[in-house]
Formats: sequence, structure tokens, C-alpha cells
Amino acid sequence: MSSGSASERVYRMLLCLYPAEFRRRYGEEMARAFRDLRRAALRKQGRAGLASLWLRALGDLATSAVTERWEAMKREVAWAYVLVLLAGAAAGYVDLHNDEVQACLILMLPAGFFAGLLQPRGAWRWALVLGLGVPVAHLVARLVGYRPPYPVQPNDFAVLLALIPAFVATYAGVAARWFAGAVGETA
Amino acid sequence: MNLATDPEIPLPLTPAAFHILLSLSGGERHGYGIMQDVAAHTGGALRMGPGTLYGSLKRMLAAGLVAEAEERPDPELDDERRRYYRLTDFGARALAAEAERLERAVRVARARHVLGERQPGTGGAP
Repeated sequence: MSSGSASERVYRMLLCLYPAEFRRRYGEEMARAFRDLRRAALRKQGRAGLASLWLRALGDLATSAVTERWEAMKREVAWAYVLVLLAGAAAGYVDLHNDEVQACLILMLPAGFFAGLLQPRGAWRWALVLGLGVPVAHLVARLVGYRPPYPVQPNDFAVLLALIPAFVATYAGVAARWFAGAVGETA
Repeated sequence: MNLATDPEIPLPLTPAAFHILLSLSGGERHGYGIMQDVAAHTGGALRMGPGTLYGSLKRMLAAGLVAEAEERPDPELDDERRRYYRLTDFGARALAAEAERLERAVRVARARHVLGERQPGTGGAP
């Protein structure tokens, strides 16, 4: 195996640092561009040129892979934030106008479950945002002087209990994802 | 309309995006061709790696600054088919707007003697 093909193989392996979608679309073109750069570097400067190319390539890989990973992560989590923010805000609104706990749970449980199921990484974020909907709504209501049409608990921290179903639902989704993955692997 | 104040044009462009557009203003090029051209027209000061190039192209495609052209072999390299990229009309407007913006900055720099004023017959900067 020539040093050239070894360089290209190592470069192709390093492409796994990029998100899968980016790699599928541009991986082949990137490997081809690296091969052309390697040939030009060897032709002009020999092994010193190849070493210099690798130094630049590693720096390029590190910075651009982090950028692409960050962009992909932002795209993946954006919808999850929207889902739990809307559900949390809706649960807060409902809780201010209705003293039935079930009404809030109908909104919170499916939202938390689906957020955890579809985006299990960092699921505590979805649970926290979802569960803070009710306490934040009560805080805003107090600031603007709104009183719910039912006797309010004297303990202000009681509204933080909304975090419990939020975490339970979200991590139930995470568990379902894990279970589905485990079943898929054994099937 | 003043290109620099066109709200649709995302100014300032990143250095990589500007130089890619500048390279494509000379015609369709494939990735390696863009890298070579950018290194040549910057005197080697900007040597983009494949990751920076294709990351920038991805964002520029999404913004409509460049478009994919057909795949074809480069007769100067080999007979392998390569994806070519071309400048769009919007990309050409963005390139002109960014060049105008940079030109204004250079004019200010000259007026404030940040850059050496080259006088005819003096043989260069002071």
C-alpha cells in the first residue's frame, strides 16, 4: 500500500467526525479534493509538502466538523424546544383557568413523551422547559395581578410539582426509545 | 438600488464565502478547482481545506448564492466525473455588494493613511 493511499484512507476514516447527512452529501467530494491536494503537495514539495498538507487538513477537519455538528444539533433540537415550550405554555394557561390537574397532564404527558422519544439526548432540557410552564404562568399571573378562579395553595412552591410529570413523561419517552432500540437489535 | 443596502443580501460575507464567489465569477468550477483558484488569487494567504470549502458551499447553496451544475470530468485532471458549482444571479449581486463594501473600507483606510498612498513615480509605499 502506498503512503498516498494510506493518507486517503485515513482521511476517509476521519470524515466520520462529520454528521451523517453532511458526510453522505459531501464526503466523496471532500475525499476526492483531499486526494487532489495530496497529489499536488507531493509533486511540488515531496514528503514535506504532505506533512504540511496533513497539518492543515487536521486543523480544517477539527474546526469544520465542530461547526457542522453544532449546526446539525441546532436543527435537531429546535423542534423539540418548540414542542415543549408550546405544551408548557398551554399547560400553564390551562392551570390558571382550571383547577383540574388532569387538564394539564393531558397537555404535558404526550409532549414530554414524544420529545424524549424522538430526541433522547439531553432530555432533561425538554422536561425542565415543559415542567416550568406552570410555575412561570403562576409567576406571571401574580405579577400582573391575576387570580385563578379557585383557591390557590398557600405554598408557592406547590406549582413546582408540575416538574414531576414533565420529567416522568420525558424519561418514559427516553425509555421507550431505548427499549425500541434494544428490541430492534435483538430481532 | 444600492447593492450594499439590499436587505436580502447577507453582508458581510465570510472571507471563505467571498473568495468562493470571486472564484466562481470566473466560471463554473469543481471543489478542488475552487481551492486552487482561491489559493492563487489570494497569493496563498487563504488555503481552504475540504471541510471549510464544502461547509461553506452547503450554506451558500441553501442561501441561493451558488448552484450545482452538471457533473463532468475535468480534462486537466483525470476522467473522473466531478460536481461543478456556479454563481447564481443573487450570488453575483452579493459578490458585487461585498466588493463595494470592502472598497469603501479600503478608501477610508487610505484617506486615514492606514495604508501607504502609492503616488505615481514614487516607486511604492512610504
